[in-house]
Parts: sequence; C-alpha cells; structure tokens
Amino acid sequence: MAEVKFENVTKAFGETVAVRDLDLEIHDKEFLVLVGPSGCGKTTTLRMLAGLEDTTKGRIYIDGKDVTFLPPKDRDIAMVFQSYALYPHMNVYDNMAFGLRNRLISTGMKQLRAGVTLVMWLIVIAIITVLSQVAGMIFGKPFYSMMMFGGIGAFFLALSLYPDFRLTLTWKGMIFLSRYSNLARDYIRIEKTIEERVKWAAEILEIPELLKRKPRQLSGGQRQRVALGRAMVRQPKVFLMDEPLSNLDAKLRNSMRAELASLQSKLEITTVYVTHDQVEAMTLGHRIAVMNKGVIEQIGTPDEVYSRPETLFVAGFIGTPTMNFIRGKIESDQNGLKLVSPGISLLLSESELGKRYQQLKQYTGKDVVLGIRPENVKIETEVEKAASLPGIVTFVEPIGSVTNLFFEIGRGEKITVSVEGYRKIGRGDSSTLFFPYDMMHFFDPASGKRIC
Amino acid sequence: MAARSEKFEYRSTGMVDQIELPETIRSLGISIEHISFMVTVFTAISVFWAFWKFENLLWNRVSYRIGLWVFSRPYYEDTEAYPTGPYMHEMITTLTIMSILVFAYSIFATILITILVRKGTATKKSYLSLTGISFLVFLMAWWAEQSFWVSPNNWFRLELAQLHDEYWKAGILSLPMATDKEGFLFIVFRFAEISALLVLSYNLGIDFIAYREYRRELKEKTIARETTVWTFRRVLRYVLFYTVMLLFLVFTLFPVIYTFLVSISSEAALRNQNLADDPIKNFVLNYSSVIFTRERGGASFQTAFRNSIFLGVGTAIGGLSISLPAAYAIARFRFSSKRPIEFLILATQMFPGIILLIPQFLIWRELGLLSTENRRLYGTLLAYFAGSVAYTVWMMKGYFETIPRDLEEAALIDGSSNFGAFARISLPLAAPGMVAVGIFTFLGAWNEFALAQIFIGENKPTSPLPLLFYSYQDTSAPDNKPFFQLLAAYSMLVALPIIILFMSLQRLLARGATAGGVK
Repeated sequence: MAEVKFENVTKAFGETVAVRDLDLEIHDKEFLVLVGPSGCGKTTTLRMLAGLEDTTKGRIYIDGKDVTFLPPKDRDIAMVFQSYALYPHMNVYDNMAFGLRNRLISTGMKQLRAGVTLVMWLIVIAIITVLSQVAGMIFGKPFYSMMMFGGIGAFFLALSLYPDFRLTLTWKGMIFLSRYSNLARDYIRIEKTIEERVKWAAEILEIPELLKRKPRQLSGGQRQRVALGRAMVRQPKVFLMDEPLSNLDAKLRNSMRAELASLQSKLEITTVYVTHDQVEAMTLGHRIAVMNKGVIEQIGTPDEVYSRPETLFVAGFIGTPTMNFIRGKIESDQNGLKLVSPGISLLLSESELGKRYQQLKQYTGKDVVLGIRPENVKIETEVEKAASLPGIVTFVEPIGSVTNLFFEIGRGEKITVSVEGYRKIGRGDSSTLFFPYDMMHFFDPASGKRIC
Repeated sequence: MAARSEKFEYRSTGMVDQIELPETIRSLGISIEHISFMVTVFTAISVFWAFWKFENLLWNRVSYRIGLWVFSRPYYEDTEAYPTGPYMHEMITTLTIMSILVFAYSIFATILITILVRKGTATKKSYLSLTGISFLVFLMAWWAEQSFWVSPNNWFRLELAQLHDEYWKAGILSLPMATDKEGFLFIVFRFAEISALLVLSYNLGIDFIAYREYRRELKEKTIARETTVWTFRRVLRYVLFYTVMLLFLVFTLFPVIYTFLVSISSEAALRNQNLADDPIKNFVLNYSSVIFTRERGGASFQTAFRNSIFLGVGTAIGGLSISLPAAYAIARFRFSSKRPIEFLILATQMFPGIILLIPQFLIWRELGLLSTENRRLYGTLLAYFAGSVAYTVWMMKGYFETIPRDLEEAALIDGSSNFGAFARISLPLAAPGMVAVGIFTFLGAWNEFALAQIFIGENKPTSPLPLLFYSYQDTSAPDNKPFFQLLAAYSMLVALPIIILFMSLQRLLARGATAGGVK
C-alpha cells in the first residue's frame, strides 16, 4: 500500500540532537522495527513520521507524497501508543469508531445529528408534560404531581438502566428523518459502514463482547487489543507502534507478539515498530534498524543483523548474553598474524580466515576488537578450525535450557560462554576455550566499524 | 448500532435454585420469588401489627417531647409551664423507650435481611418486581393517606399528642385514636405504607450489598465468585456502620434543621421560646412574605435573586470561558515568557482583594461603568470575573496537566484538528474540574458582599441577595429586634440553589474521569 522514506531528516531539541541525518526507506507491506537503547531517537523518529513532532531538517515521504509539513490527520497513518491512550470517556466501540467518524462524517451531518438530538429531547419532555397534565385532569391534583414526578423518575430510570437511551433517541430521529433527507440517509449509511468495520476489527481481535465497555473496565491485554483495533479499523497506509507491548506482563507479551506478527501479515499494511526489546525486534521485524545516538547503525534482516553486525554497537546490542569482545593488537611473526593482548595470544590462521586474513593484515600493529558470541565459543571438546585459549570459570549461571559460564582469560579478560543443557562445572575449574574462525567478528575500535 | 448495554446482574446466592416447588403450584404461575415476597409482606404486617399499639402510644409522645426538649428548651426556669423534675423524668423515659424501639427495629430488620438473603431471593427478577410493587404500594398508601388526612403524618401526630398531653400527665395511657371509621382507615394505610417501606428497604439493602459485590468483582476482575455467605455479623456490621454515619449526619445537619424550624415559627412562638408552632401556616406566611415583599427602592427577593443568579452564573460561565483556553495553552504549549506569565497570574492572588476595592471603584467610574443601575450590575459582573480568572486559570491548568497528552495525540492521529482534540477529548475529561471550579466561582459571586455594596448599594432593583439580607437585618420589630423567622426563611431560600447545585453535580465532582484510559 505505501512506502515510507526519510530523507536526511534531523531533529534537534535546542542544543541536543535527537536524530541526525536520517536516511531510511521502508518498503511496501514491510514490518520494520526500530530498536535501540532509550534516548537513541527511535521514538522521535516515529513521532516525526506521525507528525507529532516537527522536523528540523529534511523530508519525509509517505507513498511518494511529501508529508513533512502536513498535520497528522492528513497523513493517513494510525498509531498504537505505549500507554494505549484510549479515550476514557468513550466506550470501546466509540473509541474504535472515533477516527472513522472524523474521516467519514461531514460537518453538516454532525450539525444535523445535534439538531435531531435536541428535537427528540424536547419531544420526550413534551410527552411527559402532556401525560401528567392528562392524568391530572382525570385523577385530580395529587395524582397529577405524582405522575409528574413519576414521569421524570421513569425518564431518569430509563437513562440509568439503559445508557444508550440518548443515542437511541438520536438514532430513531435520524431514521425518521432519513425518509426525507439525503444527508440523514448518508449519515445512517456511513454509521452502518463504521459499524461493519468496527465489528470486523473486533472479530479479528476476538473482542466483540467488549464493545460496550469503558476502557477502565478492561484488563491490560484487552486494552492493548482495543488500541490495536482502533488503529486497524482505519485501514491506514502506515501503522506506527510505539512500544505497544511494554506494559504487558511477560506471558501475555509473548502471545501478543505472535498475534501481532500474524496480524501484520494478514493485513499487509506497512508497519513501523519501535522497541527497546531485542527479542521483539528479532521475532517481529522483516527488517531491523538499530539506532544509537540519533543515527541508524545498521539496517537489515534479523539474520543479517545477528550474524553480521556492521558496528561494535550493534554487535554488543543484539543478542543475549552480549557478545564477547577481546581488544588487542595485531602482530605478525613467522607463524602468521596474532591477536595479542596482555596474557593472551590468539593465532589467526591464514588458511581458515582466507580473504579476511588479507584485510586483517592491513591492521598489523594496530588495535582491533575481536567479537564472538557466547554460544559460538566451545569448551571441553576439541573443535577443528578454531583458535584455543585456556580459561578459568569464575561464575556459573544455569538457566535451564542453557548454562552461562563466565570465564576469565589472560589478565582479567571476561568471556561468557553459553552451553546447552546443564553442565556440571564449578567455580575455579579450568577449561580450554575454542573460538571457531568462521564465527569471529573483527571491529576497528577507532571508528567502531566492522573490519571483516 | 445501539445494542443493549450491559446491565448490572443481580446474582442469586445459590440456594434459590435448589428449592423446587410442587408442580401444582408452579402450574399456577407462582414462583419462589412470589412466595418469598408474600412471606416478607406477611411477616412485616404481623410484626407491625404487634408494634402498632406501642407505635401510636409512644411515637406521638416521643416526637412531641423530643421536639419540645431539643428546640424549645426554655432559657429561663418557668416552673409553671415546664416543671423541671417530672419533665426530665419523662424525657429519660421516652428516650429510653425510643432507643429500645430503634434497637429492636434494627435487630428485626437485620434478622429479616439475613434470612431473606440466605434464602437466596436476591435474584434480579425478584429484586425488580419486589422493588416495583413495594414502591407502588407505598405511593398508593401515601397518596390515600394524604387525601384522607389533609395534613402529613408528623404534625398531625403532634397535634394529637398535644391533645392527649393532659392524659399522659395524669398517668393515663390512652389511645389517641378513636375507634371510628377514620381510625380504621388510618391503621390500614399505615400498615400498607410501613410494610411496603420495609420491603423497599430490604430490597435496597440487597441492592446495596449486591452492588458492592459487583463493584468488587469488577475491581478484582474475577470471572465468577463463589457463593458469599451473608452471616449475621456481616450484615450487622453494615447496619451499625450506617447507623453511626446517620448520627454524624444528624449532627452535621442540625444547624440547617434548626434554621428551617425557626423559619416555620411565628414571631409569638419565638418570643415564648417556642418553635415550629404552626408549621404549615407559618411556612406559607414567612416564605411568602420574604418572597413577595417589596422593599424600599423597588428591590424585592425576586429581583435580588435574579441579580444574584445573573452574577453567579455570569461569573462562572464567563470566567471559565475566558480561562479554559488560557489554562489549556499554559498547560500544553511551549512559548516564550511562559514562566513570567504564570507568575503574573499567580501574583494577583498574593494580596487581599479588598485593597483593590477603591482603585477598582475609581477605574470603573472613569470607564462609565457606574453611571446607571444596569451598568453598575454589569460592572460588578466584570469585576467579579476579573477577580476569579486567576484562580480559575490556575486550577484548570492543574487539571489539564493531569490529563495525559497521549490522548490528544491519539485524537490528532485519528483525524481531529488541534481544536477538535481540545473540544472532544480534553474538555469532556476536564468536566469534573470545570464543574468544581465553576461551583466555587459561583459561590464566590453568590456570597460576595463588599464589592457589591460599594458598586451597587442596597435597596436597588439591581442589588443581589446579600445586600437585601443586609437590609432585612434593619427591619425592626417593636422591641428593636429583627424578625428572626424572616431572616431564617431568607437564609433557607438563599441556601436552596446552592444545595440543589451541589446535589445535582456531586457525581461529576467525585468522578475519577481519567481512570483506565492510559496505563
């Protein structure tokens, strides 16, 4: 339906720059996740796209149309807030219908509806008055006053037992008027359309029985669904989601995550999703954009970002436990290249590294950072095509399916190793760590960029 | 689209479903609810049949004596009229008997409620039918009684008690009622009324308990509750709690009741340290003389009332309509010199308003706002809401800040304009705040005296109520004392709109509007 394009967008709040020279293209029907630590500018980016913040510099396009200076209502987007932002004074149905009514019902129709409501109320009051007058004529004065109070009482009773009484009045008046007025006919037709759409969204989200409730009567998960439904019924060009799952408890979050993914693939609406949770990012996104300090560090599929991080920051941010980093100098002797750090000397094999060896060779005598994920480090069993180092266990963290072992190598360098299952290994035990060459990542510490 | 809304479900306590009626009875269309209703009514009637003799003997005495004791206690010892010794003795006797009666009644009602709730009659259907029928019965009895005995019960009994005072003093316990047709009718209607009231109160009790259950359920978000057993102690706790609350209520309401009683007394009665001697006659007399008397200079209660309503409503609405946008802007938008502007608004509240009186008077005179009667009134209105704007802005600013910004942003994205988001989302949510602030500004204008005194003056067609009250204090009786009964009637009339206002807007004042919108 729609592509989104950021062109050189900068946002500054006074001195501080929240987003710097952002270039981003989001494809049609894509689920893009903006992920990063708090304060990295991801929410600001989303709010700029929504139109809730002005841009300091640059352009934003939705579906090829420049929307940089358009107000939010003209951008055809829908947003799910972290706090859900349901209107507390409306019931779920009205919450979901609010956006559609704004779009579809014209001012003339609204005026007509207000007029009809007024007239119907006047008619109700007139009926009560006339009835009590008649009763007074027949039964005498005491009965007259009783009828009067009784009528007013019945009226309020009806209001309290049947809160939609007011709405029913308006609705009936409109139906009556629709025989004579095109405007009223259109109004009813549009309200029917809105009802269909709201019902459709409610069916998909499995909340049709909640439509008459107020937000305060709903649980957290139900509110979340209503917020999603409010965005869905509009059928916008772009969905914006600002950490929508962060207020749910862990179990609900997992199930909602799966539902969100299937919903997006069903609706096929371009979605921009902001989160600080890398699990959400990895599971939901077609592509992930990792942001740091107002800049996109890397953008790519979850697999790309995980297995080939482009910067030191991305490497450290994605993955739990975080990637191990060993900072050292590349030195060359007769055996080939070596990564040397106090107490550590790691052989870099030319035959195994292949092309990457040549790139590393250019860094001879310079500092590099070796990164390797905890689950890729092997212990105990000998692994071919791997560099090896001795290490001492300092701490063991069993988590059930995996066990995290914290090793110390060299002079106090910390290495985390994840092994499957439960390992009977205790503090103080020593073991040999194997670093497979194809799982090694090398970064330039000066620029933070990937070397190879 | 207007589907039936969810209603409050009265949940059966479970027992009722286990009772099975014989087929012959069920074929007549009689349900367990009907039977329980009949049991209730018959119990009520039989118990009250027993109570009735005491009722007629004692209640008349009690009400009369308490009236005398509380409201007409002589300031001086007039041993002839009220012999101290026997009088006190009588008081103690009647109070003791009355407290025993009240206690007996509460125990009786508690047991009844407990039994019926345990029987499980608290279903929605039975509740509605019982309440409806008993309310109708009550209305009919009340209406019939009214048409048979032109006067309401209380002062009718009071007169009877007065008649039979001599008997009581002589130590003869006599029935005040004769055994003629009227007496019989009176008894019948009283029965109907009381039994219906009893059923009504029982149902209201059930309603109350069930409603509390329902609210708690909503709060806990449990799907279904186990059967709650309403033990005797549990119900008793409710009854005791509300009895204590009722006592506090009486204590709080005492000044109001006393003023009201003075306002329905004659001048002669007040001089004789008596109270409420001929309530209806004096009520009509005092209130009509307050309402219809025209003062010197063409002022009357009606004109003053109109002026006060004009000033009060004008201040509330005018002040709010000016300060709402200002408060919203201060609460929501960033603009230069916002802090100084906020401080300036607050600074106007930092000194007593009375020191502005003379400067304001001079400025208003220069502006020509004091040149005619009408201009004086409008000028006063202007001064009032100039004085109220700072307070209103400050309060509403605080209120707008409590409304989450997300809601407005959601409305913006949903297609509202900035103004639309303000009008459709923020304003409805700020309604409780608006009502509170509006009432307080209304009260301020309604009670204001000094400024109106200087700007408008007394006994003008444009003077508001406080000024007229001031001139009432001048009205001298032969012994140079004001007519207290008129002052009391005047006070009641002045307080009435405020009471109505508070009662009708109470719900809005107390509502926690933003609950649940954002997490």
